[in-house]
Amino acid sequence: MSVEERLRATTEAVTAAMRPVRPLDLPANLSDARPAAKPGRARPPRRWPGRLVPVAAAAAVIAVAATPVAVRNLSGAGADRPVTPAATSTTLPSGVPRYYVALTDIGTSKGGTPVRNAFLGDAGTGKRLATFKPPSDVMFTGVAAAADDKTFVLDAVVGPDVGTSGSRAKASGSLVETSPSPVEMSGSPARLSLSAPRSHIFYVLRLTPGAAHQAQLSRIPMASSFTDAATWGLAVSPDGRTLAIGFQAGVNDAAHKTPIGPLTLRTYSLATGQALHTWTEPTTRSFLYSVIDPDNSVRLSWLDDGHTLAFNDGPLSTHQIIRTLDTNRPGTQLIAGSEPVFTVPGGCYAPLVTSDGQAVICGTLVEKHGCVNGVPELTAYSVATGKLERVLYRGGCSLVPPQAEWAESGTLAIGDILISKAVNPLQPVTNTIGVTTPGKFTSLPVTLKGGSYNSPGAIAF
Amino acid sequence: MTALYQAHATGLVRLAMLMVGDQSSAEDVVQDAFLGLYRRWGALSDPGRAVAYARSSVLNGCRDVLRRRSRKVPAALLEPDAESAEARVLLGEEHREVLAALRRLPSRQREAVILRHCLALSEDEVADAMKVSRGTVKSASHRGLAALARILKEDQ
Repeated sequence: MSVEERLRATTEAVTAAMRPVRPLDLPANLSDARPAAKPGRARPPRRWPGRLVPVAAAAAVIAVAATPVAVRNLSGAGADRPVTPAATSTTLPSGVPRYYVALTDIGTSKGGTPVRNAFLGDAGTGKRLATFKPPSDVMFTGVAAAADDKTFVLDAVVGPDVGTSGSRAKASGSLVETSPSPVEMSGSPARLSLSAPRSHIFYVLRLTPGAAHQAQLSRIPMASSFTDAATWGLAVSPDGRTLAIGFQAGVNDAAHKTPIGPLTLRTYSLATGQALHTWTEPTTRSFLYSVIDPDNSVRLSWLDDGHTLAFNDGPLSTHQIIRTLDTNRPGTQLIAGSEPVFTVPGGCYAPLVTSDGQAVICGTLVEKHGCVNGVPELTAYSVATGKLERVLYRGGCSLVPPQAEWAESGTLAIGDILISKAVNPLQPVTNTIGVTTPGKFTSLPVTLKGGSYNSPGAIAF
Repeated sequence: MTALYQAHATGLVRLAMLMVGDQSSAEDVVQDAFLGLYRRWGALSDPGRAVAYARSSVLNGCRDVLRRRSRKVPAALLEPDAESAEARVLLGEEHREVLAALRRLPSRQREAVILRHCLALSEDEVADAMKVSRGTVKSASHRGLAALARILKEDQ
């Protein structure tokens, strides 16, 4: 064996021996990163500086009493509309959802965290139907959709250093709708505690399609506030009645630690907020994800059969394997109680199991001469055989892989193609959203500006 | 930024692992590189070259790690290599020999060999990452390979 061959073999062995690389740990506050760090020595500041607040001193938690919030007049036009809908309308293929909810960063707070709204859009007409602005100390971090095309769930993190308030001494606000037209809201303002530990509020958005586009956003009355927990999965059952949340409690900050909890997956009734079933996986590792990143990192999804959850255990184990969990079966073990069904191939970004459970859609960048990084592709793999079945989409040069945002089968999906320039978070970027079928990509009149959509959990159809 | 990281973190951590020998240090180096990229993003002359910038930063970070180690730890203790206990368990003997041999190369030759032959980058990409000329890459990788062959032969 030549020296070059031995080098290649060693490189492959090193690659095989690598643990999954931990998530990017950027500071929530850009200014936190500005002081010159000694190269190679300074660790990036943790993103959740509020976690330094002793939990005992933060007993007073949030009481957001602003729900339910009715949103009316959603079809009107407003002068402060932040995104201009595409003028054209598209006839959506049968089975493709018409409505979507996206989390959109519209700026940065004084504290450096993103100011993030959620909006409800119509993928057929391109119209933005409603925009939801959270209270000042609340930031949306994830969204999931049911297959009924009218039920969405939003995850929001509450804390003194998130949302628009930044490090302000006092904050209050209510969940308000800001565009396309001024909308009357009901409900009383949120009351937020200053030194509260970070917690989660989950909202359900129910849409009544029709001329009035009646929508109602309500807080799901859960007993748990998920204090100091990070969410790693979010999915709504096809019938819009059950919510699955993957989370982990614990703080693993250099200066402040609380016990790391097990990886937990729990289902809840959307109507009552009651916990239905819990699965856990003991671990000593923290899988806490950033407060500013959308929170479906494992691409938790609910299959059409109504009782099977699918997820990518890559972030949870040493291999990227798609697992399915039958929620009807007894048992409480997350990994041992689930079934490995597909080994994710190398280079597959954000693998999404199709709702029929038969295929996995991968976003990939294929190396090509003349491209800095590669050519973006959306590819469909068979769960049954593990083999590549077809290339659904292939584009020009790009810096980042595309992502399937919704997939019914190996032949019908909605893809998000991020244009090369889109990796710059400080400049306008463009996402091209479209329906992809074998060899055909039909752009939808969905205008999304910003690079944050290309992360699982930032947009849901 | 997150998408850029997700697309390239594994490759960059692999580069750093080959340079510094353990994944924890490698991940620290890559995180620092992306933090620097994040800080300087507005000043980048060509955001399209973000990956090249990150690669160059990772290389610089690895040099710093190795420099610090060489100052703090007597050189003898670094032999045959400074790999982690984890790597010792996971890698076979033949691969550990190669890594140990790599670490005995002069730094420029080691970098050129890793970038050119382990990661299969083009000569231009290697030159860009190392901030040297293409000719230097050619000579450094050629000499590095020759030295590596010699070391591996001696060890047999």
